[in-house]
Amino acid sequence: MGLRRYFRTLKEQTVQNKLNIIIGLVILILLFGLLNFWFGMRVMSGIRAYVGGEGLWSKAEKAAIINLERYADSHDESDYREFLKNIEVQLGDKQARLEMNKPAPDMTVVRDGFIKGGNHPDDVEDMYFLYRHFRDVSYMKSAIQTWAEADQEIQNLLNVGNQIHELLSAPLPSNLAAAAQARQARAAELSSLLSQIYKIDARLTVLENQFSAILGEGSRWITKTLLTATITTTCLLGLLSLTVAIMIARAIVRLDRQKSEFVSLASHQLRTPLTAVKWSAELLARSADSLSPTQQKYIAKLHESSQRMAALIGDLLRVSSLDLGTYQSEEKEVKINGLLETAIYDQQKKIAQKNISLVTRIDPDVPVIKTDEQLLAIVFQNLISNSVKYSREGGRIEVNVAAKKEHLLIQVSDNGIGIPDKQQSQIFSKLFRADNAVEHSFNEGTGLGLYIAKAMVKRLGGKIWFDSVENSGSNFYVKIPL
Amino acid sequence: MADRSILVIEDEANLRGILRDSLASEGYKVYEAKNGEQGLALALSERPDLILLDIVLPGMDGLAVLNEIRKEENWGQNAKVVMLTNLSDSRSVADCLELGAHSFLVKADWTIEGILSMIHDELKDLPSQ
Repeated sequence: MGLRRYFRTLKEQTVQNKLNIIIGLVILILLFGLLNFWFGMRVMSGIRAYVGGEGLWSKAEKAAIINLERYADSHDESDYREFLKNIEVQLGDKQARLEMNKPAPDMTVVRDGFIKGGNHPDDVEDMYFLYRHFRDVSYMKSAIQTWAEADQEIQNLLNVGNQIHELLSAPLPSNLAAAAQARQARAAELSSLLSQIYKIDARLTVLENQFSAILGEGSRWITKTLLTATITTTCLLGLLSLTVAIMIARAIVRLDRQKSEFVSLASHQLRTPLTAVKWSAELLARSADSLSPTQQKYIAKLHESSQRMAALIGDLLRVSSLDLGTYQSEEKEVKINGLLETAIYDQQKKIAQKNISLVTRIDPDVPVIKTDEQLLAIVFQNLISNSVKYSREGGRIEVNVAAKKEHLLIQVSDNGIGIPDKQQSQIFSKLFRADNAVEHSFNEGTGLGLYIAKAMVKRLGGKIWFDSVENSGSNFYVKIPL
Repeated sequence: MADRSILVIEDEANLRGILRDSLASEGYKVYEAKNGEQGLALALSERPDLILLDIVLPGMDGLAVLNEIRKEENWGQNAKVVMLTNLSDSRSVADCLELGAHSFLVKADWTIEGILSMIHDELKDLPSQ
């Protein structure tokens, strides 16, 4: 019941909140994963250091035994010093262990102890970390217990070593007979002490092996545990990331669709009052003779702006129909020259106003093609209206249509303002207008024409591209399959 | 143009008024209808030379009106019907052309001058009545 209620609460959240919750979870899991990794690395490094440390410890212990044996035989003081030097390793490690058992260990003492034990200074931190966090945990606990027992044996070894030293340091009686007797007694005691040493060594060997085995087993266990945790974390993270990605993608698709539907509806609803404004302005302009020049100027502005708005709405509707995928293609036989004539006719007034010379060349072998007339008409309209819009007074526009092997090549060229190099890559983007285009004709153009043209050409299975030099003009090319 | 008659079927009073005034000033005899039913009745009774037909209309819509006109055998099948609408989706255009509309004009994209010139062209070859 609790889980169901939890899911219901989650479901009632807004999309934003849901995303926040999931993103929060992803971050949490990611942090857990990183922590897991860091923790794992430290633990593994600690275990490795203890295994290495144990090797040094055992080696020194064996060397210390040999030193004592040799000392018992040679009575040479330097052998005894070697013994003491070797036993320093165990005593160092013991110093670190005892300090780490304290509630607030002194890190200098710990470090000093481990370094005496032959451990690398860089490993000290990890050895301390492992000991302090795991000293009461299964494998580590029993390894520490073994270590403590071994330290006890080392203490015994040290005691025996001291006894041998005392024995060998004691002066012999000056009387020869007494000296011989004392030597004999010393040899007997030495032999008993050496046999104690061998027993200690045997017990230490067992403890050393035990310590290695426990650490080895612990290391395998921790590797397995960490691996399981890592795999689980990764899977969870992957699953959550996937959920987030799906949620975001769905939300984007839904919002985008809603946006397009809204644009479509709003644009359509705007058209009716706009038509009334536009037509009224047109009729006013027609009977403007009786008005003052200022009034005539304002009416002209009203008329021009309403026409621009109508064009913008038309473009917005085309974009939303492309975005919504509601456009239905209809193929039929299309005469290219008819389409071209209509597109030019629409611009006739502006061509005359700007005194532009327009040349069209249609190859005689251009066939009647089967295509979507409406789409191709819009492509022609957009390219030709652009070339007119961005031509200067007295400019020149050329339109060439040629039939190549398997496609129709349309070229619209002008010697107008061109497109700046830096902005050429954005020219087909939605609502983009180049800086010089805005400057040249602020009131015209919606930034949608080329975006629509590209989408329509794509729909026709063709390709659109251009080359342009700022201030020299542009050539637009369209390739449509025949 | 006095002998030419045009029926405007348009629910928006502002637009209907502008069209009526402009057409009348060109000398056309103008009939007006503000909904589909009224428009169809006028079309069948007056048989105008050309009909300007909106699509979005209260009650019977423009497509239904066109469909009914085409059912009338003598005059209706060849009556000149020009769709004058603010819908521009490909489905509406295709439906109207399929039903035999002569042209499909988007109101917002056309000027009155353009509409008058188009009507003039449509009617110039029509034999005098």
